[in-house]
Amino acid sequence: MNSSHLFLYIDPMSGAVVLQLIIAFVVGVGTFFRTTILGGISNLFRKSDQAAKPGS
Amino acid sequence: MTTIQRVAGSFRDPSGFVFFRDEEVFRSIDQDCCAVLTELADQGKLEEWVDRNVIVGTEFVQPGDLLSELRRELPDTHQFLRHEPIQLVTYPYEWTVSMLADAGIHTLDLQIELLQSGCSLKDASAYNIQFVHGRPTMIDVASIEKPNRLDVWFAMGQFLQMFVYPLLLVRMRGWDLQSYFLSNLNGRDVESVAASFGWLERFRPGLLLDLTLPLWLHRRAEKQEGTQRELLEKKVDDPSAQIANLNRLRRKLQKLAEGYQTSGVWAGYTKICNYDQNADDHKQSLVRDILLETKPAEVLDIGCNTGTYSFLAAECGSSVTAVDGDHDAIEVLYQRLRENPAPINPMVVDLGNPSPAIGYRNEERPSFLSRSKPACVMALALIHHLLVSANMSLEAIRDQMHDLTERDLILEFVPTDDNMFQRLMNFRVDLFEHVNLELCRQVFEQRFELIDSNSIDGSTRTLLHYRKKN
Repeated sequence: MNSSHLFLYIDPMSGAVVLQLIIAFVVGVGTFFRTTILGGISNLFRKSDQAAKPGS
Repeated sequence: MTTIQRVAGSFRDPSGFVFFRDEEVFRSIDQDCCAVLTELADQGKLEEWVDRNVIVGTEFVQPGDLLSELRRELPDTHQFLRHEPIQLVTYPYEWTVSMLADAGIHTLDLQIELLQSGCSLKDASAYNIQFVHGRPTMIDVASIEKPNRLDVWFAMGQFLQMFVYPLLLVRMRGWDLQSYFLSNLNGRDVESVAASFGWLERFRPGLLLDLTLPLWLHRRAEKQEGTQRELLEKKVDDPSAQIANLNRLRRKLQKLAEGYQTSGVWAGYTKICNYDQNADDHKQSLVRDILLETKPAEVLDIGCNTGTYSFLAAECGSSVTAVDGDHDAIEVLYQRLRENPAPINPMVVDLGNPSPAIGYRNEERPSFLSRSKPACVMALALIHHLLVSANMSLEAIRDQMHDLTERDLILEFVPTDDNMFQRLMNFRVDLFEHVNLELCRQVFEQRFELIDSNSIDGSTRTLLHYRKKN
C-alpha cells in the first residue's frame, strides 16, 4: 500500500495535538518545579531565617 | 409566504445550521450548544462580546409568535438564535495578508477569553471570521463548546492550516492566498506544506514548532497501533499551557503580517497617475454628486485601488464593497481602514477571473458574482485595464457591468491617448485605435440608459452615469 494512503486513516493534523500534550506536560513540570520544589526550598530558608532570630 | 433557505455552507457542524427566513438570519442549535451559550449569556459574556464586535450580533429568539412559528417550521430544533446580517460574506482567498493575520489573531483572542470561562472553540476555520467595518468578527457561535481538557486545543491543527501555513508560504515561498485556499478549501495539510520547504530549512525557528515537530509527531502517531482517546478525554481545568502557546502564536502572526512589504504597481498608482489636483477634485465632486442624488444603499467599487472613492462613497452613506485584483492595493486599503473604520468591505478579486463557486456541490462557498448585488457599480479608471490587460471587448465589459449592478453604473472613460492607457500599451500591438468615447457610449447604451455625461476638468477623461435597462 502506498504510504500516502496510510495517512488517510489518521487525522493529518494529529501531530499538533500530540505536540500540545508535550507542551502541557513541560509547562506542568515547570509549574510543579516552581511551586513545589522551589517553594519548598524558599520555605526552608524562611524557616531557618526565623529560627536564627532569637525571641521571634 | 415565508420560506426557509438553509445556507449551503452550513452543514458540517452537527450542533446546528444557519438559515435565512424573510431576509433575516437565524441559527438552529441543539441542546448542548444551547446550554453552553445560555451559560455565557447568564454570565453577561455573550452580550459583552456582541457589544465589542468580538462575535456577530447574536440573540436568543424569545418566546412569542416568532418562536412558535419557527418551532412549527423546524420541529427538530432545540433553540433558535437570531444573527445580525453580514453586508457581504468574503472568503480567505479574497483577503490580504494582514486581513488573514488579523482574522487569526481574532480567533486566538476569542479562544483565550473562552478558556477563561471554561469554554473553547471546537474548530478554527478562517471561514468563521468575517470583516465588519474593516474589523474581524466571529460568526460561528455554535463553535463554542465546553471541553474536558483546557490545556490542549483540538482545533490547533486546523488553525495552523488556515492561518499559520498560508502566511508562512506567502512570506517564505512567495505564494498568494488565492492559490492556497482555492485549491485547498480547508487549507493544506502538514505533509504538503512541509514539502514546500527543504529538509534543513525545516529546522528554522519559525518552522520547527508549528511545522516540523507536528509533522514528525504525526508520522509517529500514524505508525502506532490503537488510539489514545482516553488521553484526550482526561479532565484538565488549568488552561495556562494552552494560553502560553496561543500567545506565542499571536506574536508569530503579528510578526508575519508586519514583515510583509507591499510592492504592487497599483498600490503606488496615485504617484504615477497624470491627474492634477484640479482634475482629482472635479472627479470627486462629480462622483459625490451622483452618490448623494441616487443614494445607493450598497456600492461596488471595482478596480478600487487603495480606496479613495470607496471612502468617498462611505462618507455619502453607502455600504461599500471595494474590489481590486492587486493584492497590495487592497492591503494598503485595509491598513487605511484599520486606522479609519468605515462600512467598507475590501476584497482581492480579479474581474477577469472572479472567485468561483467552490466546495460541496459547488454551493458551499458561492461565487463572487452571485454574492454581490449592489445598487450602484463604480468603475473608475478601470475600462482600459479590462480592454488591454484582460483582453475584454467593450461588449464583454458592458455585459459584466450589467450583470454586476442592480441599478446604476458610474463609468470613467479613459481615451487611448491618456498616459495611463499608453503605459499599458508598452510593447503591445495597438488594437484599440478605434476605441473612443463615441464607440463606448454606443456599446453601453444598448443595455444602459445615459443619465449624465461630464468631462473631467484638466484631463481628457469623461465620467458617465448610466442606469441599467432591464
